[in-house]
Amino acid sequence: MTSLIDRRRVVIGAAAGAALAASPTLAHAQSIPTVKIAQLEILSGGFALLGETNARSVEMGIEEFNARPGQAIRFEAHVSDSKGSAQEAQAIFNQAADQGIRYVTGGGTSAVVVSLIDAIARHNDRNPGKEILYLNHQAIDPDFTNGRCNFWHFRFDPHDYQRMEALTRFIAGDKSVKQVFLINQDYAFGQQVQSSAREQLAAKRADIKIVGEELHAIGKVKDFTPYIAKIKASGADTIITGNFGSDLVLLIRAAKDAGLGVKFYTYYANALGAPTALGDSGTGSTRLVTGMDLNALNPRMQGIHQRLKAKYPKLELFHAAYFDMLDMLAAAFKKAGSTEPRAVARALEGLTIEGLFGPVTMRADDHQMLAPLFVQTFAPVDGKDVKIGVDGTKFGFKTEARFAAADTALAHTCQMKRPS
Amino acid sequence: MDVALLTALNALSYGLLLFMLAAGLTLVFSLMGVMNFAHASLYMLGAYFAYSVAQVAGFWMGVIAAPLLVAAIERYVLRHLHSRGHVPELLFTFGLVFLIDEIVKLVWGLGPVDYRVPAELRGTLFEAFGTRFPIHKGFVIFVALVSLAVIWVLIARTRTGLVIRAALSNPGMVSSLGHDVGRIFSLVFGLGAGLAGLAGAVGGAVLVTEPTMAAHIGTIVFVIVVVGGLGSIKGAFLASLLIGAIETVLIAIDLRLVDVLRPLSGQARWLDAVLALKASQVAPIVPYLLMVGMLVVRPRGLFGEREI
Repeated sequence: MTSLIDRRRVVIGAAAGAALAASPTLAHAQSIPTVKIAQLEILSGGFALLGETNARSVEMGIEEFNARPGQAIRFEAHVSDSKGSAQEAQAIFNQAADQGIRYVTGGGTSAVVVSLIDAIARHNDRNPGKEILYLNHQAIDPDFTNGRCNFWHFRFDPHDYQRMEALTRFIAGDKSVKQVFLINQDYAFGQQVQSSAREQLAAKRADIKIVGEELHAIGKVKDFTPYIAKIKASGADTIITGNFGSDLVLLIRAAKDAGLGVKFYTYYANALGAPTALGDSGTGSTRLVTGMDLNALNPRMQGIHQRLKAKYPKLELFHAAYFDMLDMLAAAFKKAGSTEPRAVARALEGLTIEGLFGPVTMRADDHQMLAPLFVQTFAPVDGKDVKIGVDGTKFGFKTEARFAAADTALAHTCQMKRPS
Repeated sequence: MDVALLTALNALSYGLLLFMLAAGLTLVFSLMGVMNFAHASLYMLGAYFAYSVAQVAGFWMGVIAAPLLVAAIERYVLRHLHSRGHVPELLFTFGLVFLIDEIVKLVWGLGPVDYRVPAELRGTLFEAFGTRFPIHKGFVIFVALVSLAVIWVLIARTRTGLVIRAALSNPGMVSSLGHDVGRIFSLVFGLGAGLAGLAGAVGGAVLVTEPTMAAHIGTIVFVIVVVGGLGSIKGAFLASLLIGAIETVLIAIDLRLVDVLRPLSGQARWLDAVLALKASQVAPIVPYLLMVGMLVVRPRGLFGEREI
C-alpha cells in the first residue's frame, strides 16, 4: 500500500516553485524558510471530486501566497490520499510526523477527522517540543469545537450550526415560509442538519411548522419520487436539506418532475456537480448557505479563480476556508515571531485578520473561526447579480444576504485544556 | 388510492430499470455460466458512451449507439478469453470493474456529466390527483418492456434462440452440426452487454451520470439475480419488480418498526433503538435481507434451475 500512497503524493510547492522560478522577484525563493503542510484528502472513491477540489484549491492558494513579494516564509503542501479511512489517515500522519512536518490539514469525513484530532493530541503529549498543529479547513461537525474541542485543533470554516444560524435567519425573514420539511442523509451530518434546523427555526419563528422529517440512506436512493409524494402530502412549502452530490440532484429533479413547487434551502447546491445536474430545473427556487461569494471576489481571489479554471477547468472554487487559513497562519507566524506550532497556536487564539469577504476571527475559547456567510439563490448568469457561471453552466448564484462573522458567533460548550 | 396508484407506477418504473440490468446479467449467466462482475460497469459505460454520442448526434443516436459500443467490448476483448474456461473470464470481468472505473474518471472527470433526457421526454405524461407522472418514467417502462419482449422472442421463438439453447446444454453436438459455438456465445454476451449499455443510456439520463453510478447499482443487481434465480429471465423480471416495489413502498408508508413489532419493545435498550427506526430508513437493507433469506430457504431463488 505504501507505493500507492507515494504515487498519490504530490509536492505542490515544488510545482509552484518551478512555475515561479521564472519570476525575477523570487530568485531568492530558496533562502526563504519553508513551512510544510501535510494535506490529507480523499482522492479516490465517491468523494474524490471533493478531495481533488480541496487539493487543487490549496495548491492555487499556496502558489499565489508564495508569489507575493516580500514573504517571510513560503508554504509547501504534501498531499496524500486518506481514502476516507481513519487507518490510512493515521499512517499518513505518522509518516508526516516522521518527516518532521509540523502542520496537518484536511482529513475527509468526520470519522477521519476525529481520529486525527485524537492522534495529534496523543502525539503532542508524548513529544514535547515536536508538537503538530491541526488546521481543519472543511470538517464542519460542531462537536469538534464544542464537546470534543482540543488545543491543537483549529477550525477555519464555520461549522454546521453556524451555517444553519445564517440559513434560519434568512428563512425567518421570508414570510412565505410556513411549513418546512426536513430531508437529510442518515449519518452524523444529516442528523445534525435536521436537529439544528428544528431548534433554530423554533427559536426564530415559532409559527413555522415542521411538517415532516426524513432521513434516508446516503447515496443509495435512486428515485426520490416516493419521498416527494410524502412531502407533497405534508403540505410543505419549503425543504431544508444537507444533501450533497447525487442525493441533492435527484431530490430536486424528482421534485421538479412531480411538479412540486417548493423552495429548497441547501448546504451544497454550488458544489460537486450539482449545478450541472440541476440546470434550469433549479433556478429561482434553490438556495444555499455558503462561505464563498463568487460575486464579490477581490482582485487577488479573481486571480486565483482564473488560474484554477485555466489549469483545472473541471474544478470549481466553492470554499473560502483554505485561503483564510493560509493568511491567518502567516499572520500568526508574524505575531509569534516563529513557526513553532506551540507558539503559533497561542498566536492564533483571538487573532483577527482581513479575510476574503471581511474580517475573520479565530475565537480563542474553542478555536472556531468566525467568518462571514452568505445565502444565495441559483440563477442564470447576468453579469450583474450573478457574475460567474459555475460547473461549466450558464448558471451561478445570486447573493441574497450576507451575515458578518459576529452574526453567527454561537455560544459553545468547549472547556479547553491548555498545555502549561 | 391516489398515493397507491402513483407509488405503484414509480415502483414499476424503478423496478423495470433494474430489470434491464438484471436481464443482461442473468442472460449471460444462464447461457454461458459466466458471472459478469463488470456488468454494472458496462451499465456506467453505456451512460457515458450515450452522453458522448449525444453531444454530437443527439440523444436518440446516443441511446442506439451506446449498447452497440458496449457490446463491442465483448467482441474485441472477452472473446479471446472464452476458450480458456470460466476462471480466466471471471477474473477478467473482476479486473474490468477497476479498469472501467479508472478510465471513466480519466476520460470524463470525477464529477457528473450533463447528460439528461431531451426536451421531448421532459414533459408530463399525465397528471393524477395533483401529481405529475413524467414522460421519461414512462419511457423507461416502455424501453424495458420492449427489450423484455425482444429477448423472449429471440430465445423462445426463433431458430437462433433454439441454437443458443442447444449450444448451452450440448455445445459438442451443436458444433458437430456445423454451428459456430464460439460465435453463438459472442452473440449472447454481446446481447447481455448491450442490454446493460441500453440500461445505462436510459438510466444515466433519467438519474445522474457520474463515476460512482456503477458501484451504487451493482450490488442490487446481484441481489435481484440471486433472488430471482440464477439464469432465469422470468425470475429476474419478478425479482426486479419485487425489489422496486419493496423499496418504493417502504418509503411511502409512514411506519416505525415498533408499530409492527410492538411486543418486542421495552425489552432492551439496543432493541428499542432499532425499533425506533422508520420503515424508510430500513428500506435499503431489505433487499439484502431478502437475498440472505432466499439463500437459506430456497438457494436456487424463485425460478432458478440450479443450486448456488
